[in-house]
Amino acid sequence: MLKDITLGQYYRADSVIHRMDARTKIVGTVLYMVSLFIFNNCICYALAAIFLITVMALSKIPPKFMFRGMKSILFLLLFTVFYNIFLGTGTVIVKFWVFQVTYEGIVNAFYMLVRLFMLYVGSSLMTLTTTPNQLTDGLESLFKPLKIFRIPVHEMAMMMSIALRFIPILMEETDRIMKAQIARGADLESRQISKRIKSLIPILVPLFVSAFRRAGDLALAMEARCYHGGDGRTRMKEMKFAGRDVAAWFVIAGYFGAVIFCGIYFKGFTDYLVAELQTGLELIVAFVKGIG
Amino acid sequence: MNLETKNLTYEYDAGTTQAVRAVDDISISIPSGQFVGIVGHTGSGKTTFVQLLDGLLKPSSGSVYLDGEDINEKKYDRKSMRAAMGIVFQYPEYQLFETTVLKDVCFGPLNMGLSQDEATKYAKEALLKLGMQEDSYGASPFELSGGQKRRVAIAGVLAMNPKILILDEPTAGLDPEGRDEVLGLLKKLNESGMTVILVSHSMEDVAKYVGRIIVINDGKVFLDGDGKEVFSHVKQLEEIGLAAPEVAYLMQAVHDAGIPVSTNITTVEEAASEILLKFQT
Amino acid sequence: MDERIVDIDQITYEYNRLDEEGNVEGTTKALKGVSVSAKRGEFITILGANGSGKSTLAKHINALLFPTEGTVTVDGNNTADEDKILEIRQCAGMIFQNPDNQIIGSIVEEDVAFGPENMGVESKEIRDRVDESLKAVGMYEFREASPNKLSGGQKQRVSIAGVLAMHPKCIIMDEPTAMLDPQGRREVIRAARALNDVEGITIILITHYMEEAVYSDRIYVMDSGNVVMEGSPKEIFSKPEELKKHRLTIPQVTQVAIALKEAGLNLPDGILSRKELVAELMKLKECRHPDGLKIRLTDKVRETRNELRD
Repeated sequence: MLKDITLGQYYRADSVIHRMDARTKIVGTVLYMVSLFIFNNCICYALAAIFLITVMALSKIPPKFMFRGMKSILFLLLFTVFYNIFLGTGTVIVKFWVFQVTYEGIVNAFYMLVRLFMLYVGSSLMTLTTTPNQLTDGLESLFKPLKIFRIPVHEMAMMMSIALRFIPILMEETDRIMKAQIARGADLESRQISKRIKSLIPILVPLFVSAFRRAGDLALAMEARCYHGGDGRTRMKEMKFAGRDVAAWFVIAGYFGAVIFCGIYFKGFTDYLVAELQTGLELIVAFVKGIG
Repeated sequence: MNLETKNLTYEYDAGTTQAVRAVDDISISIPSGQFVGIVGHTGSGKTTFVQLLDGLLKPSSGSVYLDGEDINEKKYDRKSMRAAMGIVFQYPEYQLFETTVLKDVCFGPLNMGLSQDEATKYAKEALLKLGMQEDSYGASPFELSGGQKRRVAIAGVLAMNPKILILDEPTAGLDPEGRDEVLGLLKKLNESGMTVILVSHSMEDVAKYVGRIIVINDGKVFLDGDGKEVFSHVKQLEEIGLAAPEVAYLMQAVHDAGIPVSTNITTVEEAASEILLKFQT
Repeated sequence: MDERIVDIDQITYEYNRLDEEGNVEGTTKALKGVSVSAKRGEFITILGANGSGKSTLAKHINALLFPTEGTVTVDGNNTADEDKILEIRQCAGMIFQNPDNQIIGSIVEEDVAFGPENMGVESKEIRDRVDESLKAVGMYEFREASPNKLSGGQKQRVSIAGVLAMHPKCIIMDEPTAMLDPQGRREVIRAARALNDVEGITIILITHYMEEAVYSDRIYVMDSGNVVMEGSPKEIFSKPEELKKHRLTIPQVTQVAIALKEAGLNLPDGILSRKELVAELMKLKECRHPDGLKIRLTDKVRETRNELRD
């Protein structure tokens, strides 16, 4: 179900990671994502995993809570694995129709799986430890320089934080409208595409009407509370870099440096792994043949 | 049609550590033609319960029987069940979607496989019952006032001619007259033989119109009986965040002051005559 | 300083009805020469059925709508004066009907801070104001909760705190209890009364729940864009027939008192609370003649009584 997605949810706890400045966390997460993708090598992934596990332990978020949302990206993971294993290029092991299994494909599938998994956990960690408002404040502050190009940074941040707040409400509403129309005999399970699209109208129209009504109400409520854009606005929770942020910057920089070093130093590692896998498999095949 | 539940249980997030039992082992029977009020505070599980009754949620365990047949059986004819049971959700006006009032009300009957003519006929009947006159049928439902929208939405369910009608807080947000109109209509429908199940948190409404009250708390049946029986448990009702009708408190206060009136009173008329009785002898 | 914090003088409000192409089809008058005022520290209730214009009126006080004719003055400032709009909105805060659609923040305390942040209050002071306001409505322990996890009554109290943090002199509540269950309704009304009693904040409550109007200093009744009745709760609720004409009813206790009076008991007009009625009944009991009172029963009461006797 949609509500199982942990992404975009805040998990309340008191930890170093929670107290860290949102900007540190945003930049850290971005650098971490980059680090996952610039090199294709086991040692780098090991480093990334150590980094991730450390942050996870510091954040005091129960791993169970984090993995609950995994189900929603399971399909993506399976698809990636399938794609890499059966449609890869390189030394072919088995071939049938358009599919071919290659050694490189297997290694790549494994890499992608690890990458996506760590990507998901890493970004979840950020959203779980940062309230949506802190997050948008952080983004607003980071993108402030863009204001010179007349990009409405404040307005965009505000829109984002409102969207985040209303997603669960609209989701609940969708559920209610769907049930109400099913109770009136709406056929939502039809196989015919044309019927299916038609059956969406009784759900989408009320949903849009409701979303607009809420938007109107909210605009009025914001105006009533003296909202007049970003000019002259102050903050209750001012963003300040603390000692822990400085420490975090050092850790992130250290991690990133280490990844780059390992990535270059162990450049041939993937080829080595492919070769190893190949020899291993050949040995097994020979062994099986020998028995036969 | 008789509606019955056996050990009906529903859990949200079943199987996880955060599983919440919204409905917990409810076994009740609602014979044809009853007017039942289901009361409970927000989050007591009453809405989940009626959604289970209508087959919109699948029970975690236990069953719902309509005329003796389990509605969650694989072979059960759900389409005819949908025609037999109608449910009006909270704020039903938010489910309107068609371009005209009449078309919107026809949606249900058409889904039931009726011809356009039949559907129109039923739709018009339903609209008239709710006091919506012919001249409004061509209007867009979104242009109507709040109270009118509510009526059109209820008509949309009524037009399916259900034998059992479930309503979740149909009077929420209506003004006193609007409330009385809707509840009066339900009474009439019930008198014509329809089973009406009214979910409400207004004790005054329930006391005035309903024959049987089922109080739900923490997903369980807390009290089940007629108004006098249920409202004689004022203290227990308060403990679970509900209140008796204002007159019940009044009679309690009169009683406590030393005038020996009966406290088994739920409506204004009863209260007045009971007090008079004590002043006359 | 003017004694009146809110002074609405003979306002009309017209809006254009548009046809499907967006052309003006005609104008509708939602308010037709309405005058309403509130003194500092007063608790005012505006009663009216759906569509009576009471919400339209409320939005005028907060400068969200502007009158077509007439003037609205809030704490000495005319709402037509554009330079004063922010000042007016800060002085006269507003609570709306739908608890979900007026909470902006994803965390309770961040929402409460929204108003003062817009006003440019210093960070440290915002923190103090937020804590203070949340305590005043009894929501301090929920300060770090997500609004989605709260009940309707709690959400409305958070909204009240959000307005309080702006240090208003007056709060307008536009049907704040219409979407709540009885418990939530009690919570909100209790909070409103406490603010009026303790902090001396003027409250203008708009509702169609009669029980909520009982405690106010003055009641205005509206019907189809006009103020049709005005007076103390006692005065208003002793005219059940007139209220009925405007699609309203009276509280149950008052209904019982009126039925008793009609039957011949010597009760005063406008009994509003259980306590009052019990006290009056006790008085009657003491001075009752041994032969009993002459009682004229109305048909309905007699019928029910006979049923009870059986």
